[in-house]
Amino acid sequence: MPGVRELLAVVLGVLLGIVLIVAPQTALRLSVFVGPNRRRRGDYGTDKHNSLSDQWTWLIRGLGVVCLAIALIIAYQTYA
Amino acid sequence: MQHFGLKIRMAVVGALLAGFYLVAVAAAMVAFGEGILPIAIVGSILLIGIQYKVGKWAALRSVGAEDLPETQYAEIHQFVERVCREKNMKKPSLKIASMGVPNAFAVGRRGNGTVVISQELIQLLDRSEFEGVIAHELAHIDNRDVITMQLGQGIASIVAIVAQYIVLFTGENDLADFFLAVVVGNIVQFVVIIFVLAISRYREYVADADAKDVIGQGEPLARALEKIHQGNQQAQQSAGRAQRGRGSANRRGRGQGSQRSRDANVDQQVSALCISSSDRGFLQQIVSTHPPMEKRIQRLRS
Repeated sequence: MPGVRELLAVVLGVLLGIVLIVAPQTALRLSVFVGPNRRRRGDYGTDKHNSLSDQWTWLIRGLGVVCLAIALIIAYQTYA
Repeated sequence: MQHFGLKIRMAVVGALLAGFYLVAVAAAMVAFGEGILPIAIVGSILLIGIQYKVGKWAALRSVGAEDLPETQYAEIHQFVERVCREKNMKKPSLKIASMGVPNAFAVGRRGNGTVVISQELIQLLDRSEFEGVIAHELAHIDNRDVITMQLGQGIASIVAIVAQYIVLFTGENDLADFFLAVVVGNIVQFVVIIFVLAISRYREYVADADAKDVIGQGEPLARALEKIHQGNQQAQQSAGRAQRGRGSANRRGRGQGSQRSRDANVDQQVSALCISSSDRGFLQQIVSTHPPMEKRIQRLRS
């Protein structure tokens, strides 16, 4: 019988997947993988131009797609 | 009392961060027994210490910072020595790097700090403006801002790890549990980092105010910020024009230029969809390390 954990895994997984795909820069900026020194780089006194390279952006979006896929697999296994 | 309002806000956000950490440790003790406490404390210190050391090394290495020659830049060295004497602080090492944009940043702690200045910044600013920027960076070291941020980052990591393990070890170890642990860990760290970034923005105001005290007026730093801001906007506009030009050429060819341009702007579009302030979207504001430039300039001139 499907429980709360499965439901949370699907809902939160879809949510995180969408955030990673739509706002990869924001997601990475909020990640602990970007240290305080790296996060503060860019134009002096702003966060502008502190964007990550295209490869990083696409990697984060790729993780978002993986996140969505796993959430859908869990949904299928649980509710189908 | 200096920066009273900011101190109150810092105390509130700091207490929230400490609360996150204590809740995480308490939850770990409930889930894994009291024996986890020494591991949690030693692990926290080690994690934050390693993050601090690696972060400093990586920051200097990533920009290729080199020692600022004392013979060539004697005035800068003399200014830093004077400020450090006033603040009763050991002189940080000064480094120079070519970063492609006017920039400066501080790493390390009081007694073992480093200030890195970009060549572009030296070229752009006059002496008083440049001193304002340097005084701001020295204030970050004096106020132990780098350590504070590292501490916040460490707390975010610890809270995320604890949340992840609690979800993992209280479940049945199937795919849903494993996935939920990863997702919860990420979401928790996002939330904690939002508070850490709020602290970062408050500390920028404090460093501005300290720089204003050191140089006796806020105008030079305000002018420096304006100059950098205007220079960057112009650079952005010309880069945008160049990109649009390339985009048109690519559309005629493969059509990839405009696609890349659209992709790069997705975050900005998301920000624009959120509750907007006059100049920046809400989402962009809460993930910024710095307060809005206009507000900083206004405070410096007030």
